[in-house]
Amino acid sequence: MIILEITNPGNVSLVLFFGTIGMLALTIGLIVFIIFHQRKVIRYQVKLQRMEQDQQKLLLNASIRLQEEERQRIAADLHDDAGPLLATARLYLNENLVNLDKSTQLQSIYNAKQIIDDTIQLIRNISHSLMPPTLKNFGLESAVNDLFQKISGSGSMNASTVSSIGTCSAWPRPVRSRAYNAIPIAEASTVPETLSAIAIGT
Amino acid sequence: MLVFILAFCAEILPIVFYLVFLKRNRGEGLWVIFLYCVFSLLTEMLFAMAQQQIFYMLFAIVQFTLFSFFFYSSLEGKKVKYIPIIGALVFYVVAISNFTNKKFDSISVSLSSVLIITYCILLLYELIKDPKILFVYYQKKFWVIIAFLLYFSATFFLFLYARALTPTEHAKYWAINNFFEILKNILFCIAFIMKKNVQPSYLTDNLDPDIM
Repeated sequence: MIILEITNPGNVSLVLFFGTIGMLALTIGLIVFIIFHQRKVIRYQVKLQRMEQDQQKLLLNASIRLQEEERQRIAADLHDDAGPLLATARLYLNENLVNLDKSTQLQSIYNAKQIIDDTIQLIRNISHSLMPPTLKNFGLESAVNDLFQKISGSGSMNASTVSSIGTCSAWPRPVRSRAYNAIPIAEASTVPETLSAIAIGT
Repeated sequence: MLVFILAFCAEILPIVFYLVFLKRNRGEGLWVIFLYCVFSLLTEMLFAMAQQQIFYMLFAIVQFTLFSFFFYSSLEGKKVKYIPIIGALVFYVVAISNFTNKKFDSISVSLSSVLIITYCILLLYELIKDPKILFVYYQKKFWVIIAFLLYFSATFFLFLYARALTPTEHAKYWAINNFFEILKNILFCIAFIMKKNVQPSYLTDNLDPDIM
């Protein structure tokens, strides 16, 4: 405790004045620094939080827009394709059918059956494009590969995936539509880069 | 003399405020500070009656014990929790070896100042690090720490030189102690009055980084 022992006090007033002022300045400085530093940290955290919220809002908007587009497409498919087909089938099976001769009746029933079969196929296609069984059972990568195999199956083009897509439970319809759009654009016989870019982009 | 009377009156204020706002101060560990205020007032009264230096020496030991306990219960880090205990042991050794009824024991009081300033910095650091605390100055403990920091840093040199001062110088410079005693008690009052863990609504409801 020799350090704290004052054996020969010199100018006490001066030492007390400067010592006390110095200690107070240090303490006040420390307190002010802590308060300002904490405010700065909090300000940064709040900004970060706000950016995250904006990002989430953006993603939510994109998701809602995509759902809206999908609804419109399904509505258009049902209204423009399935609706007229069923209406035509109904025309063949109208009330006057019983008054017609046997061969005409059979012909009408046959035509109606054909139209109903077409409608069933159409609805199956719509359902398939919404959620293909390959995607449901084996994931996105298999579904995209399956799609590319179908494109390649035509013989006029060789489409293949390059990037690893990973697993995804939702069928990104833009992959399919953009893959088909890429066919006329790509004059070469292969379109791997375009398609992998599409897959990553979606 | 006026400062002395004011300082004496200021000793009563934290006691009154603690008792008035007893509900707000429950579970915050501030009863130690209340106990310290009571001891401080009793020592002042005893010293005014008997003028014995031994009261101050005993008070210094009791005061440091209470403060060490306060910091021990407030600090949450497992390693830093033992620092007040070690500090208290060192202080007791120094205080007992320098115990005298004749003169003010500058060494042990200055040592206690250094130790308490160190504890304050440690506790302040813990409060800042705590993610649950949004604004440190809405904590009761923050104001207690500020009171300690200001009082002990301002009176450090005074206590260091207290033994070497002549009675005239002592009477002249002891106003520093009285002044910061008043300030310390006012800060204790703020700690006792403020509500528990309250954040202002304009900051929690609408956190705008530009206005902060």
